[in-house]
Amino acid sequence: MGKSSKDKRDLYYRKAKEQGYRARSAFKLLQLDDDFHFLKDAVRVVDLCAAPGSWSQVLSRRLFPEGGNISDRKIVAVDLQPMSPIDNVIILQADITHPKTLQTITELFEGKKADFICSDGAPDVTGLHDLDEYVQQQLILSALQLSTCLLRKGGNFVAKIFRGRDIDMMYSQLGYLFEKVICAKPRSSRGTSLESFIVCLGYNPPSDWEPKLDVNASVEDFFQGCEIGKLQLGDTLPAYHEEQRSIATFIACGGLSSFDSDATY
Amino acid sequence: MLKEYNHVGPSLAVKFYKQWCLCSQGPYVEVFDYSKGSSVNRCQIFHRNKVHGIRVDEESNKILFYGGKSVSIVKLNDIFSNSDVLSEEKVVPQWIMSGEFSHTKNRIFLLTSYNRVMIVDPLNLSITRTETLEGECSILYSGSIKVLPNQVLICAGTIMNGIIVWDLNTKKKVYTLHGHEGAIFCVVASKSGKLLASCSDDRSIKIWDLESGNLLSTAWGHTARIWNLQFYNEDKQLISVSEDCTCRVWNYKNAELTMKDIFEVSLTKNVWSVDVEEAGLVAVTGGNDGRLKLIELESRSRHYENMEFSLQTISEVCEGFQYEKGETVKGFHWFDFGLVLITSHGNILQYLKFTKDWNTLDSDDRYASFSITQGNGNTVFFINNKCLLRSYAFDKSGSVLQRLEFELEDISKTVNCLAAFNNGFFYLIIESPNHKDPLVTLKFEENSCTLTEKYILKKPQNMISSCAEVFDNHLLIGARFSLGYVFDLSSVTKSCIVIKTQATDVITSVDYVETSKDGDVLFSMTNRDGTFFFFTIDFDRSDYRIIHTNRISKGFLEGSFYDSDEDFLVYGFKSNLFHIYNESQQCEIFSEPYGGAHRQWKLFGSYGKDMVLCFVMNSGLKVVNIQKSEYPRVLKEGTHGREIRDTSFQKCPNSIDEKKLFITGSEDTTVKLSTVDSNSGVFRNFWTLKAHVSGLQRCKFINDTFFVTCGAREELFLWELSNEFSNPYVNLKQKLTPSMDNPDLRIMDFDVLFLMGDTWNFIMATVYSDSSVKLWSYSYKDNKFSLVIDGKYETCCIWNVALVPLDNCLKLLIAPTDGHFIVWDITDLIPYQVRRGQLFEAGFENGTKQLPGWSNKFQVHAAGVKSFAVSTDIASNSFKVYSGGDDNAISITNFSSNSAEIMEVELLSSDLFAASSTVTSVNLIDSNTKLLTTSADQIIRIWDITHNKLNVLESKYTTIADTGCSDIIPLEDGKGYLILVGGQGLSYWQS
Ligand SMILES: C[S@@+](CC[C@H](N)C(=O)[O-])C[C@H]1O[C@@H](n2cnc3c(N)ncnc32)[C@H](O)[C@@H]1O
Repeated sequence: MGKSSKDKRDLYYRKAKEQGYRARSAFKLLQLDDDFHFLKDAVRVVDLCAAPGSWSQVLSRRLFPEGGNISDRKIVAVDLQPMSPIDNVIILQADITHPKTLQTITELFEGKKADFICSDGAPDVTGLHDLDEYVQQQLILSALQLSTCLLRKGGNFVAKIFRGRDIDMMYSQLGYLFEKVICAKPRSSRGTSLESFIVCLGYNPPSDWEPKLDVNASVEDFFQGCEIGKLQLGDTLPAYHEEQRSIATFIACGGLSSFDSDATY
Repeated sequence: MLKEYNHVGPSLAVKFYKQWCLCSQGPYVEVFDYSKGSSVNRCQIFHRNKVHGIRVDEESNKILFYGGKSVSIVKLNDIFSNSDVLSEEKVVPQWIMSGEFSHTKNRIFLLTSYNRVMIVDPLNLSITRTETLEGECSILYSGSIKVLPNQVLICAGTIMNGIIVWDLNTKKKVYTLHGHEGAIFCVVASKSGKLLASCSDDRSIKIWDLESGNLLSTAWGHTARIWNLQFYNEDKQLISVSEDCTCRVWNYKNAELTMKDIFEVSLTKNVWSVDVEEAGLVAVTGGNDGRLKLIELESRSRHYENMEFSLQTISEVCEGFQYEKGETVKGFHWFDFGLVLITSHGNILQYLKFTKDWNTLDSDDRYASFSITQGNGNTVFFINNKCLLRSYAFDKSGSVLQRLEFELEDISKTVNCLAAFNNGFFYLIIESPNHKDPLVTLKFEENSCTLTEKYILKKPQNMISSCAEVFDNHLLIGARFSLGYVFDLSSVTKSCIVIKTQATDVITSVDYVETSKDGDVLFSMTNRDGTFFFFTIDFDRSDYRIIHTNRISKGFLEGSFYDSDEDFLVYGFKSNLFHIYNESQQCEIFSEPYGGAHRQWKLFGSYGKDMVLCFVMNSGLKVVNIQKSEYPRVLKEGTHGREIRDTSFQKCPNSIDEKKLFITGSEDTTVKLSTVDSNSGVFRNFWTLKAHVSGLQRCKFINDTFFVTCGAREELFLWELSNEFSNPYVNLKQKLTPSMDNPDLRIMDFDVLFLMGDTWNFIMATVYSDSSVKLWSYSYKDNKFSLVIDGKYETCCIWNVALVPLDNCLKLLIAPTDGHFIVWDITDLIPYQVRRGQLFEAGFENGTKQLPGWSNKFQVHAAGVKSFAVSTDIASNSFKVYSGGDDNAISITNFSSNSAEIMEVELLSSDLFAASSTVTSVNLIDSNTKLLTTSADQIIRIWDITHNKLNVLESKYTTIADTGCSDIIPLEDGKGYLILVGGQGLSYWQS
């Protein structure tokens, strides 16, 4: 994790400048879409952890190609940080781990479902690896929670992950909700960083599970019934046990001919 | 079986308990007897999770540990005796922010990451209640529980909504405290429960009134984020630790928080944990570098009577001395009885420390304006610029035993006078400004003014002396322009040896260190610019060899010595401080504000006994006692604070020494040379080499004497190791010359092949982040790298390279970020012959050749190859590559050759799910029948690779995050391996 001054010099940074993107991250979404085409038929989308907004820019350009107003299309972008306006994007400044935030987003969609939800969220990195990894996973779970309430059946979800020690537990959990879970690394993401993206295709929740947002329930409560059960009063704390883990297929995106972000040009 | 013996990494929890200090490191807790500095026991608490918190309850004899989603309640005694308490580990569904015993000790509170409190019965660990605060369950970044006799307050630090304080019994919000910017990293109530301290992303510390919810004070000081706060001393003081490597002490008085002290406790980023012992005398901190540092908060030595004299006040009590305006201290010498000083008006005064009396010894205006003072045990010498020398010898109480004066006629004038001791003799080296004058050396019996010999030495041109040492019959002079001179006192006409260094400032000290078993003599030398050297002199052949060059991190370097623990200490000035620094352990051990540069100062005595620093201040003098700390300075030595990128053992198969030498190269730009005790696993650091200015990519021993390190800015350094003295020394032998001025151009990897039967000359392949591939030949005699082949692969970054000699050809193999293997046949491009897998001198013409097109390109991985190992089979002219990739896969690829050019490539086996994250290192073991791999999922695996199949034999979790490198050497008896694993920390294993 962590940024370095190298970002300033790299080729994707220069390309982003040329094409008017606010951050080099735009190419990560573009390269992921090159392989998975999740933006092809997307009409309503949510961009979580969106600041400074380069993913929202990509979404805006794709969903509103003429820049015009196409009435049933909608993009909602959320971040802790303020964001300067982007055409056709509704911007919300809020904490996505707060249940109220998810409720607000859901309300913005007025009962309609979304086709695509993405989260490029990264916590304020402390340098404490295990805590950073945990908070990162909580951001994904929050994004996933929103997805279960808002995503249409068959819809797609993409989130940034850091492949640390517990990422395989995450893969295992996501496997319950989607037809396909893939770990994808765009060429614009540095090979020297642990960053990659979890691509979840074809939303397909267990038929006997009804997701329900409750402002008093935390993200982890929310997934009860869909993953390990919550402890009840009177229960004794369970002894240490290995949680279920599975490894997702790895795919490199963006084609070998695209620029390599580790290279010096 | 893989077994971890030692591990140094982030220490997240430290806790004093009676005379012990409990410190976490990964899933372990180590118990130290802190005043002795000895380790009592190390106990594994959790299977995988790191220990983030420790709470002791003496009454019930219980100890509570928490970390991640794990919690454990253990009998206190078990921590002192058991090697693990893993059977007690329990799991909670959410991350635990804090844990606390209830007031009556019959409950335990656990605050978890979504602002929920679980109340647990410590006896059977059943959940009696779970409480939340309605509407407030976003994720927390910090939190604490304050247990008061009739109230339990939950203090929750949120990401963007400030601090929420709520009452556990009423489940009602007490306060929402706004004022900080960004996430709250620590929030903690004072002992009395009246105050609350907090810190956030904004680097400030705020004190709140828990009775009104008002903000009382905001204090600034830390230059980076603050991670931990703790009140002590009845809420009158607060201690903090930060990302800026410091621990700070704050006073809280009259509703104001002010900084009292700063302690530098870690090397690089992040100090996580802190605790203060009951009486408030000593604190302990835990850093990301694994260092456990003790700080004397109110030590006796810091209150030890230091003295400050001004000439004006002296004249009021000193008979016969009349202070005149503008009069200053010109020179001084410290004795057991006190002090002797000389003023700019030629007044020689004596201070007797037991009676606190001042006497005038003499008043002689021939010594006015210019004088130099030197002394030893009980004598002091003053010399003026007219070569007049005056000496006094004293008895123990300071009474004058002898007073002498004579004029030196061998030189016309005096500019400098240096002193040295050797074998019961005291030497004065007197220099004239006239370069035609000789250098005069006077030899006295120690502790008397009896001159026994005079040496008239020919002074080399341009020599301006600055320090001296005498060893046997040799006089060593350190001088300006960073030159050293060695004179033979037994043969004064013999020309001197001139020691040339790379530095350009002035040599500040020369000292004899030791004589080796073979009779080699070792000296150390410091240079003001911060560089220090170790060198040996061959007096017979009038030759010298520098065997170690290094530099301190910052400041001016004035001298160095080894202390009683064999640690190398340096001293000098850092901004406005005089400081003594433990260079072996990289930590400051003494610092004292000092009026500024160019003041006269001297250090007397020896460290650990009575060391005294004297320096001139205004029109007076300050005397500072330097005492050895009452406590050990560190309980555990740390390692690099940032990620270790590579590690390598010295390849010394016949060594019987239990201590194995190894190097580590880190993102923090330094290379450390250390040993690991193969039995106990204890690490000891010797040198932290600071030649690189960019983060390291690779470091490898290429044989017993050389290692190579590389990184960004095209830095690649060749280092030579010397083993003949009691400590290892290394010298930067040569660097590759960068081809361009691009700071981002990184040398990613290198490989080396020595000439047949030769341990000095080799060829080396280097690969770069701009896809460049180069081959160099190194000649030891000329100490020169020559570029043999130059070229480029494509545009992508190349992560790995190997030189693979086959029967009669040499292959160059690279692995870039595109997941391919690319092979060239470079047999005809090198000025050597290849026969039966060996390189022979061929006398071919030199000159740089262009890298031709590759002969093979074969995709094995979906993304970059992070690491590979090669095994060759000369008989069948083939080699196998065992590779680990960013795509989580491990593969075995076979390359075989019939014709010289194109090889046949076959993917023999591949496991696409070998790890759940990047495979970062692969090592061949057991005669190439097994593979050891590490990966970013923090698992070490051993694979069976016989029959070209990959089968996991063993896998073990490692607490080292960002697991990125490993190295392995066989044990002497062939019964296993020593393994080092590096990443965020370093661990030592045996198999
Ligand atoms: C890597 S940036 C996103 C870049 C963005 N995709 C772009 O292309 O411009 C990560 C963002 O996650 C946001 N973030 C982190 N934690 C969050 C939370 N709890 N709620 C909302 N946003 C959060 C940070 O504020 C930060 O702006």
